[in-house]
Amino acid sequence: MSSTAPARIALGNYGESVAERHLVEAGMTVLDRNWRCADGEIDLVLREGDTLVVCEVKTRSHDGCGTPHEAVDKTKLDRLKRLAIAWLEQHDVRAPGIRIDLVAVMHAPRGSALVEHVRGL
Amino acid sequence: MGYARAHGVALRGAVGHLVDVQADVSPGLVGLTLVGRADSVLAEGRDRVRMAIINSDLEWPATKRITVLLSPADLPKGGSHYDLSMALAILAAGGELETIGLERTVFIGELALDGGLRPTSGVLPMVLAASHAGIARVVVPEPQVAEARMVPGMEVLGFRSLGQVVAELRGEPVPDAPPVATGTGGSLLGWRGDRRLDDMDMSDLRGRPETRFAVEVAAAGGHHLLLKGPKGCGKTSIAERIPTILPDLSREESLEVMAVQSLAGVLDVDRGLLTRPPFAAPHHDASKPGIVGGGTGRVRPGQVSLSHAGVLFLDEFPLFKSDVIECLREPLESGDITVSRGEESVTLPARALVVLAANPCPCGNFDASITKDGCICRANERQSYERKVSGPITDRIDIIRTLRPMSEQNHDPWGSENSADIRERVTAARRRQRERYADFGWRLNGQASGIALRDNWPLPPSAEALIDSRIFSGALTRRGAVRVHRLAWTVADLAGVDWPGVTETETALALRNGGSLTVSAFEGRSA
Repeated sequence: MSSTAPARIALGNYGESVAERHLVEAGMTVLDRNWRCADGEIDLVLREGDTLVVCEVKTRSHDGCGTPHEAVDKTKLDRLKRLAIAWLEQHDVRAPGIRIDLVAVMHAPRGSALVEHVRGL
Repeated sequence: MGYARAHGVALRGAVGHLVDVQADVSPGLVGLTLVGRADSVLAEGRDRVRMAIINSDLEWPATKRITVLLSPADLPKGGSHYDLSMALAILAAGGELETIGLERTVFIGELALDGGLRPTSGVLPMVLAASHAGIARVVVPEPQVAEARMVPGMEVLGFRSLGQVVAELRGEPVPDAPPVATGTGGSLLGWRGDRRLDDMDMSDLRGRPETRFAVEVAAAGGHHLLLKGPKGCGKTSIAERIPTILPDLSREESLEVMAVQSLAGVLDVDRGLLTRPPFAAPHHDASKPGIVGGGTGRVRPGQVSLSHAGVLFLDEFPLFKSDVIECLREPLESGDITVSRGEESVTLPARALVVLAANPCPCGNFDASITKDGCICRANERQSYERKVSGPITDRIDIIRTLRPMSEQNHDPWGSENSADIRERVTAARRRQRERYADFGWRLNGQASGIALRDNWPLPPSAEALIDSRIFSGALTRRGAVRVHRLAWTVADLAGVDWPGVTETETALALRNGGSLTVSAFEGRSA
């Protein structure tokens, strides 16, 4: 890969801020961001009504490596489910419903980024 | 975005089922899930379909969750011919294609990674199944258009690639595509073993009026036949010529035979609609799957099905493995064969005229009537061989003839009659049977139910008395008596007699028990 590690991190941070803005505009409340534990990291934890939403953000500057959607597979989904439970335990929160979402950010060289929100993986 | 469906066909043996290929494209965990009891070849279609769509410059729903269901979900499905219907259902569900045009059409074909549409085996039975299900239009790979067109009343469209099919469905001009290889390379040699029988004729044979008559009766009534005799007495020569005196196949029979050939992957569409009955003569080394059908993966028809509506000749049949011989009992009686493996059970047509040939002993030289017969077999070898001949299979044989080596006594000018003349008589006799049994499920005396025969077409009391006397003397079993009844009708049909009497019954008894036929039997048929 031609891009350097700092460049990748910068792209990731950019994508996460775009995603957060998109979700807040859609009426969701941010509870936590970049939460880490031994098992991994959750990009965004939000609340939509009664539902706790654990959101994975995927950002791509081009689709040479496939779409952002394709980067989330069954293993990743299972880990996000475990992380969601870990987050709830740590914060002593009870949620009637839990959902795993994906926000795909396609960063275009010119113009605004393309954002797609997939509810409930 | 949403849901769409296209039709495919599932084959179980020669029985086809219409399959609904349903696709759903919606947001969620990205990937393609295939449900509906697909085998490994079909499941690999996921990757073929995906690459074929992408390489045809069509939109693969890469950011969506795709679910493909092959319905009915509990029917086991296998093979690569679902690729085209899966691809179209996915394209329509993803919004690339209108669903109009997908209804009332069956799509058959395997996809290559470049989007090419490759031929698959079994197209003819699939199109037949589609026709029975009321479908009027099929899309097949271009090389198989001729095969699909054999089904009457079916609109057949042939294409070379997925791109061409999509263009046709969108109503756009169909783009050019490179021709797809058919996969069969044709014969490697100039030798044509399958055409060897084409030049044969009954007039090649000299003498043997009794055997010729027996063969004619067998052909006319669909009676299974056992030829016994020392080696070199002409059993094979006669058996090979039986197809020449059978009438041409009806269109229905022709499609049945070709459907079986298509399943076995041996259908030669260049020869057009089959008209002549098939002939199969498997070697006695043949395995059970080779004879009755089977194999791993998809069930391949065996020789009993490939000779459907024709002649199955088992030379030296006591040398066949006993499990193979046992398996033949079912097709001999019912006219079809059921191959069961695990939970899968497949039925194929197998209504062949079975001709068995047996030597008198393993070395083939034994002759009880001469002292110096040159036989080198031990008495116990001869006995075990004879036991195989007189087993449960011969009990299902209608006609038993023993051939003698050629001598001055049985040399006879009758030998010069040609196949065409005999075929005319056979055809006429078969027509009488078809008309008589029009309300029943059979076409020939050999297939007639014994009970229905006794109730509707009984023999006159004098003939019944003759049969009874043979039963009481132990020369005939009850089962054998039914066979004599059927044979008597065929003898009458050949002779143009309205109802069999004592003469026909006597001839039938002689045919059944291998007794010598009186001259009147031959005079009767030319009347």
